[in-house]
Amino acid sequence: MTERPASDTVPSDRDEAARANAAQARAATMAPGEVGAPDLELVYETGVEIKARSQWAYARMRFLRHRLAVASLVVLVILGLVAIFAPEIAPYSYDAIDLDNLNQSPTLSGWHLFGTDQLGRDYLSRVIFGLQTSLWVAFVVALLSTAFGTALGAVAGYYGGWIDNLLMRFTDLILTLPGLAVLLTAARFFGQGDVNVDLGPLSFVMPQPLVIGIILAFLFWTGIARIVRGLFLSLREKEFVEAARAAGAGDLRIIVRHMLPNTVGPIVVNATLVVASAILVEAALSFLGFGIQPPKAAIGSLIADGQQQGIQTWWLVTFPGLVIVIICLAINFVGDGLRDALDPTQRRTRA
Amino acid sequence: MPEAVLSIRDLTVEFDTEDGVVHAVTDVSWDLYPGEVLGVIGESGSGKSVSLLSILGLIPMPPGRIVRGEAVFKGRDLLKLSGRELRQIRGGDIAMIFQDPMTSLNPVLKIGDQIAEAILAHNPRLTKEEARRRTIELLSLVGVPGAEQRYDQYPHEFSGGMRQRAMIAMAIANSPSVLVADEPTTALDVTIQAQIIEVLRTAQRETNAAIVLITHDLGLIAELADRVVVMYAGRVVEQADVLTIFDSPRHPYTIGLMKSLARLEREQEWLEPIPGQPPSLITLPPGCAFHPRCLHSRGRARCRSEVPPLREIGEGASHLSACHFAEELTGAQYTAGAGVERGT
Repeated sequence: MTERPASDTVPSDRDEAARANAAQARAATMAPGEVGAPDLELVYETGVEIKARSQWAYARMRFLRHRLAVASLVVLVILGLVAIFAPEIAPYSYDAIDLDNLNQSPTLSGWHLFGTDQLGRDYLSRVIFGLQTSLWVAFVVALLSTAFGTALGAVAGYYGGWIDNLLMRFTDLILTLPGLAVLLTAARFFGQGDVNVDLGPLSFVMPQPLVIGIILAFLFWTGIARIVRGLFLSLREKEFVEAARAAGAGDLRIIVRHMLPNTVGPIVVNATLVVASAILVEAALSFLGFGIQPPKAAIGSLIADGQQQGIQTWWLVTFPGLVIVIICLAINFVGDGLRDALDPTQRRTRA
Repeated sequence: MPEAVLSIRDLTVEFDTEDGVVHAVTDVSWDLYPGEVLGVIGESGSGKSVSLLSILGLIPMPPGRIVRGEAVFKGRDLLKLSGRELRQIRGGDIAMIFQDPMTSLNPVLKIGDQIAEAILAHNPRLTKEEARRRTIELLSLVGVPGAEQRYDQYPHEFSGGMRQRAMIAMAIANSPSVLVADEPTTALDVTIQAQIIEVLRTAQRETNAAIVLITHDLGLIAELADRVVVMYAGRVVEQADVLTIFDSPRHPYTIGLMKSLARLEREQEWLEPIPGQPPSLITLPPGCAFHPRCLHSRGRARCRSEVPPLREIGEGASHLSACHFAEELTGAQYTAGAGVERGT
């Protein structure tokens, strides 16, 4: 039922009741003869809707006050859309060759805004397609590592004891691996192209970005696992968890329904930051030639191609580099904004 | 007398700690009858909460350990049930109200959803809509105004009293036959306490549940309880109906509690505290655990050597005391409290 304005000509029962209550309240609190304040009366008769504001509504308000984060989010959304609609937006295909314009510096003729490389491929198009690959990899990494890390950390933190010990020692083991060396080895074996997965009845082709994403996720889940474990360790001592248990909730219900929602803030923040570092690491892999293979483009491999040509063709390193810087900066700002917004202990945004 | 809905026998709970074994609850026995309010009183650490949490499987094990005893609820021993069976009972037939409503509600879930979830957990056949309607009924019942709108609010939008009402609504959601209220008013303002007592009464009328009221607030006991179990250092030291406990307590500890209570109708210049500290539950004093603080023992050897059993004394079978010399404690100088001793 919605609130009726006071001017409504057909008074509902509820309005009547409210008016009667208001009259009673006035009679009770006021000396006889005293005239009630008119705005008070108005409040009574229109009724003040107490709007239930969820944690999310508060978080959204706090986030929107964070201007840099909002601007960064806009930038990210635009870049994301460009990546998704790369075939429609890019003026050329990533491997289209324009023999009339080899090593062309940025120019308006032929819309080579970012110039062309020594094969005459349009660099704007290659950056756009590279962006698509890189974001796709980063998204896979963030999704997989967050899901796996959260599940593992939650189980470790909730049950504690030997389960915690086992899972956390496993986490430590992964952390002790020399990251780049493992990545290069894994990428050398699995990441040199699309992978045919043959599991009897279940056979499919995994596109290369997905393979690279899975390899990266293998190293990226440890951080989130530790964070979630820590949060669960403190959450499980909370009284509302005991209350849920006393109300007959089982372990899974307590973990998923009562504890996980309390950890969403840090998890989301961490996931955004994982996206940023995944982009950087994927770029590093591609730069070293172990990532996405040509002629497909990835931001990292574009920079690698460019640096081989020397300083004369400065546009070949500058533009893909700029894109990486912009994305990572924007993601970090959004992460900052989210952290401030999702921290329930904080009611005001920092300036 | 009707059959007890919950009867605890010789319940003994220990905790293994680095400093030694904590004897949290030792040989506790009592019966709870349908529709009554059983008050369990005692100082912090006297085992009142642990005894109830342990039979519901809510103490961490390890380090906790139920050494012996049984807790028969509707013909079944709760201590022998599997985790799944116990979960069915928790929140269903036996529900709990916790001390601090500020921390017992999940801050990120809507109040209504939390109550509805408790309903759905025990009635999987209900639809969400039915659970919502029932929740709103319950919220109105415990005196939350505008329950329809309040359903969608979060705990931080509720005041302490309103939260405790919501907790009570959640506890009675599945019409339990036993309601365990663990210090339900301790965290609240005095004015709110009176309201919550009223809500508890309503809740009991509505569900006809037997209530176990764990508290150290004697005022709350006087207000609500029918019978009282007094605990000290993990043991039951006295048990009687509420009038008997207040009028003629027969254990020096209970007498000490009564004397330390501020009363308006008497002119008291000082409250009389019980001397000393509660004993360590790791190294309990030999014999009667209360003897080092007891004003009545007067150094008698028996108090130091022999653990006094809980036995029937005096008028009728309903008054039990665990003092070797309970019969000596009938004089007016004990029951009338400080006033008499000051010679008025």
